[in-house]
Amino acid sequence: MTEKEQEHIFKSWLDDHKGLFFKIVRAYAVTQMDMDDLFQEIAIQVWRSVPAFRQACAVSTWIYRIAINTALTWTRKERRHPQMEGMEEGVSLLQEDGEAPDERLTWLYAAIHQMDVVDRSITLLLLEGFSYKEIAAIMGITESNVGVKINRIKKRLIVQSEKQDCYGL
Amino acid sequence: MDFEEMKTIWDAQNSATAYKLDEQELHQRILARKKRAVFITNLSELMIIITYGVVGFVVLSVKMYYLAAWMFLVVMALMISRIRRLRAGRRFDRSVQGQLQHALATAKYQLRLSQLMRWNIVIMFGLTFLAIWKAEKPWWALVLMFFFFLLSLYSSRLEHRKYTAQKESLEALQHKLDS
Repeated sequence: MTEKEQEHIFKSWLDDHKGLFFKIVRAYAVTQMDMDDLFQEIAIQVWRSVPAFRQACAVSTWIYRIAINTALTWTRKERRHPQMEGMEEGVSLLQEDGEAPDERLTWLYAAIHQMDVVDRSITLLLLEGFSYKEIAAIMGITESNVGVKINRIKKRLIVQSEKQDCYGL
Repeated sequence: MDFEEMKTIWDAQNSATAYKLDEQELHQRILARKKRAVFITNLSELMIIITYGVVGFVVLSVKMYYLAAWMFLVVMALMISRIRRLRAGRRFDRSVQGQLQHALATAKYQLRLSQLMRWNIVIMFGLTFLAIWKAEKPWWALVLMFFFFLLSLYSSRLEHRKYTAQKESLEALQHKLDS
């Protein structure tokens, strides 16, 4: 595959699945600087992965696989060097569009942030509508293990949302 | 709020564009990173191999045969383990578990390598000490060499600790994934 072909495929992936990138970035990073840094990291890894894509799965599944792995690695790195990691240049890659965010969505992201990195990844995949089988393949664990984790996650989210309703937050 | 409602809120994001993307800037950063990546990945390994190889020849030229032989042995061992590491890297799949196992294997490899290099420092100290002793060099040369090796040992200890922490954090993540 030539570099031009790789670039062309990467650009089309980026255009078609822009929302997917943003959702993962927002689920793993909090500050604008971190979001930018993580987005860059994911974009680089997805770009590198283009020649290895053999169409054995959907592009979105492939991107999710790469993005979640990158986010997990980034989270570990970030925890070790919270101040050292940052943007290389002063230019921001991601800019917010200025629209007022849905409060319930903001709460959902906050709830996802409170989870450990494994549960966070599974929640993202579940919300994206991936089946247990697909989640198991992406995470590299058994379907039954996925089922157990999802039950736990759902219960926890529902309890948290009830608390939120009670306190009227 | 039940889970289905959460999913509806989540899906609503797809219709609204929350962010704009600076594609040109991204493209430039990817190209810059690509150039750096290959260089950084293999640097430490290659540096040790080259340094030991060159110093091995220098040591050989001053007829410190045991030390030279040991250094060449280390170079060979490093080259073999590097080839094995690169080959092993192709074994892992692209699932989270697969990539985690790959990261863990790399961390274990680095840990083994740093442990090996620590023992190597002790052996090198012994061999250099013997060579200087036999050559009847002044006492301060021995003291200087002693401090130099002490410093190397301290640095290698710091490096070893870093790799140990890295391995432990990966093992914790693996435990979370399996539980």
